[in-house]
Amino acid sequence: MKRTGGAVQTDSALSPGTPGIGRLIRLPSRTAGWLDSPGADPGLPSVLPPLRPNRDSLAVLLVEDEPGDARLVQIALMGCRQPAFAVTHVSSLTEAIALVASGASLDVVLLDLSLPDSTGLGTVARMKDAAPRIPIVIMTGMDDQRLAAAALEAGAQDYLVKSDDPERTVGRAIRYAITRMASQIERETLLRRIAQQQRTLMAEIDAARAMQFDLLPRPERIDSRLSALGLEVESYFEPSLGIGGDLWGCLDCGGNRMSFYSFDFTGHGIGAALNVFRLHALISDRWSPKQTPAESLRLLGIALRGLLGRGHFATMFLCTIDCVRGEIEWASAGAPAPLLITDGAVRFLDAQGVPLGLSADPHYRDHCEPFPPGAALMIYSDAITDAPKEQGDLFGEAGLITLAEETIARTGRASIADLIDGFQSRVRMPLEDDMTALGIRRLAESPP
Amino acid sequence: MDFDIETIPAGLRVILRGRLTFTENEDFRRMLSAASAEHVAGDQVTLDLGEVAFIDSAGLGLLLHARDSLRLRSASVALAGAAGQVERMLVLARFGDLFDRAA
Repeated sequence: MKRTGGAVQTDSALSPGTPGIGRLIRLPSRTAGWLDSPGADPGLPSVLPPLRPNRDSLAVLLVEDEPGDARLVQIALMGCRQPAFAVTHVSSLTEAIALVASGASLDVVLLDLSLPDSTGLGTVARMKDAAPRIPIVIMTGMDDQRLAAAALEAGAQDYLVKSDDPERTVGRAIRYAITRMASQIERETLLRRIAQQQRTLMAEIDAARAMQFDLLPRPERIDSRLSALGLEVESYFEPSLGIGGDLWGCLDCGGNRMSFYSFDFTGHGIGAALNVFRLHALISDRWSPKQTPAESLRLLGIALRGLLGRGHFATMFLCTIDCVRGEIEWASAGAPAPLLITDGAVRFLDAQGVPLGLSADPHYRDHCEPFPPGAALMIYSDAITDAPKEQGDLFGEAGLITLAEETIARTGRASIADLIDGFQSRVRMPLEDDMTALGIRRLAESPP
Repeated sequence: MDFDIETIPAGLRVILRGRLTFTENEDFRRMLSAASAEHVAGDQVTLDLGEVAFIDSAGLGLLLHARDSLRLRSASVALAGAAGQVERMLVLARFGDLFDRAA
């Protein structure tokens, strides 16, 4: 920073034209998670309907206007004992619908398709509307396979040809129709139950996602400190599967110092998300402002070592910014190398280190660099460098540094919002990995 | 991912090709059981990564799984040949410290 004639001028390509105040800017998530409107299905029966043909007596509604035909069917059903049939006879569709509407308990409807008040397939549809869960057996005068198929399509469970010997066929058709209806209802109930369970699971995941977002630093808690230190923090956090294995956070060291971290577990989804809560709790427990970043990483690595499953680990970057000394001190456990932006020049920090959880005796190195007013640091997860471009090759560190340089050349600074816009326009979306991007900028108008 | 297994004076050399991510999990396990079957106790197993084009953190996890599983058979396990993105990932995560030196 140069002072000329009392006005403050900065060398940094990062600083906006007007000096800001220190604060945290949390960019909104760009997806809604998994669910738009979770909720239970109120129409879902809690128990499956009983399979009725096992009962001793079945209630049959016979809808038939030809007295002779009706009589034949009644005689045929009277001969049956296991089960016995209790027949109610009406001669019009209107009477049949009225009976159903009155709440009569029925097991099956035997329905003639040529009634005085209704003929053809419309009869099936109207009966079905009135009693959607009662099986229907239609009775036709002729052996018409196409009509039969159409009636089944319209919602009937079976059909009878009147000229067939009713004593032999009607009892069997009724039992068959009831069984068929029962399994149809069972199948629908199961499908709805699966759909409901899926909605419940997604609602749970949304709740877990909200809890994960709650772990992130909030402006109302840290803005007074960021303002006092002259730090602007801009963050973007987007789990790929609703919840994820990334997190970032900040830790107040008191005085002129503030620590920031970002970590990323192998894998994503629920398992990785649970590990995020673990490590977040460990950081609360083991971190102290008296430790250097390398010492803190070592303690966290040892603590995680016994907790993680085989092949699981976390990469982590931890830094402390001292706004009076104008320095950044950091250590890394194999995290993607952060970008340091000073005087408009962009370069990667050394981020080598064994990831947390892999070594029983891990050792990390503390690094220190100047971090003057106007300097910025970009911390990010490997979702950025590992993202495939449209042509198929990886965005990579080369893609990131080029994007940062171009963004600075165009806008005079490297805002995370601009970098993410540029990134998303250059890679194949949506990303398959959890993504975190964090920009920490020392304001040029840094308070003393 | 595919692989070949060669016998060399120090033991076995397993040449891996393609990508190494969670998607290659099954292939990797097949490689591991093939290598275990050919392995003579005490010999070194060298995982040759010269023809691996890409590795992510899940792929690093697979390498560790191979190391732990082969060490149970008292093999020393070394990595060799990594280049480009794969080499950068191994250096970043200090994997040299976690594996044995190639004989």
